Amino acid sequence: MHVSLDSALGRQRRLNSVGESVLQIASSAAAAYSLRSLTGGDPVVVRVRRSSNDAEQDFTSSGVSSGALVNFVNEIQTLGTVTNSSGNNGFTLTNTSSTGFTATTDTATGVCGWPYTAKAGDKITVSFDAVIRSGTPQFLPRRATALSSDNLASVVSDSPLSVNSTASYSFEFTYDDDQAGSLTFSEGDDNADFDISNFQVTVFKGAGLVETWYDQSGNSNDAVQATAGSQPKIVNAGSFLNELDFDGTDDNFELTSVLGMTSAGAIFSVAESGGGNDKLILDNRDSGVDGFRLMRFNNELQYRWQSATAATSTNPGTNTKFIAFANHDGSNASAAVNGATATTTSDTSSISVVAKPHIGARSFSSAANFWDGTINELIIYNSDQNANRSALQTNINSHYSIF
Amino acid sequence: MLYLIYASKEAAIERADEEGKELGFDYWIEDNGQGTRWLTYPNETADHMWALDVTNYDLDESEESSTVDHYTPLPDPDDD
Repeated sequence: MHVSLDSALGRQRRLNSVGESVLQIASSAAAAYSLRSLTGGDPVVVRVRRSSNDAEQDFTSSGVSSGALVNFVNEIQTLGTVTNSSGNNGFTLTNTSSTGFTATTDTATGVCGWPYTAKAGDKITVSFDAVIRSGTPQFLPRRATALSSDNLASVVSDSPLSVNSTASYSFEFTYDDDQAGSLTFSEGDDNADFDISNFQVTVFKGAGLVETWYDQSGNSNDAVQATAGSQPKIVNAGSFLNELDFDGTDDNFELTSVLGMTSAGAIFSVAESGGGNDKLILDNRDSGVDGFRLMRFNNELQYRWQSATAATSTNPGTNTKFIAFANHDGSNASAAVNGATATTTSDTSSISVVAKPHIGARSFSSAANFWDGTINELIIYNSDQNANRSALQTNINSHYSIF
Repeated sequence: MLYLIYASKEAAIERADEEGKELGFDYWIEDNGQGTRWLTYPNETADHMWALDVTNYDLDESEESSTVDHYTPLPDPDDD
């Protein structure tokens, strides 16, 4: 059944005022997640783990937009003094420092270098000056921080790179190995005598993964993913995405606590599907039909509440952002995309869910039906928000310019 | 992918905890109950064992000889 928004509301819609934040328009959110401020202040919005060394840091909305977050992810690690390989694999090494060394070998073996942790997809640019007196040394990354003659790291560009003449060098590598751990020089299968100076990592382009998406509602119902392999990306190969990218394989969050929704509720979200059919944006169920979920299914946005399904006639599409709206007012479940007229279905059931909701995956049994795409914003109410729909969507669309 | 199969979820998490500590994840450094704790988390198998993805784990010889390259996950209980 299709009804117009006005007739569905049957009352005056709330209009938003210039400058009002989402939570000033409708303050009673049960949980609210975004990278922008939904409060009007400068709340902590996200906790990010960087791929390089797994360090984590919280960021406010201004820290996200100012570039502090991406700078944290791309921070260049300090190099210690160059390390010689142990045993017969080492050079005769002198003049060692954090920027260079003099290496000789007359046994056609030798490895030395600097430990530097990086992960698959990370890009590193190094520069240095070389003076080659004899031999054809090579520069190459290795997997382990403990240097040895094997354990070559896998890199996208050709490896190893010959340093066969006196010159200044600059190389960029893209790692495709999660265990890459050292920036090294070797002898190049020949006797060698050479100097390296002014060695430095000039650019590091890493990945930023979201460990916590903080709740801005004031209810401290943060969305958390403590498993590194299941954290969505916010920075990829050094580039800030300005959204959370879920891989469709295992990325998802679990909320810290239950929502407590019973007979009414509403969801506003900004998302983008990467494809597929059965993809959960938000799931709050104890079993198959016990609770509610918001999902893209059969090229529709679907809001399923117990056994009722409100499916939009508008296809949210793939690879394009959309604003999702879902609402249950106690009598009807409704759903809409991009401000269109809501599709409504009659339903008077109530819910009582004890499982913690999941963003991007199923909330009961084991996580499954993963969201393959991005989510920018997710605002959840335990109450009917038909009256605030227009004002909230106007606020959201003003920020994201979706329709 | 390489998996170790455990009889209990607790045993699998114990191994995941060990790897998380070894990797120096934030949860184990800050001691405030916050931050990344595991590299991977176990999933229940069809025969109610627990499979832990250890592809990128530092395994000992005993563990290396016990890995399997696949497992059968729980049947999907969803209604779709």
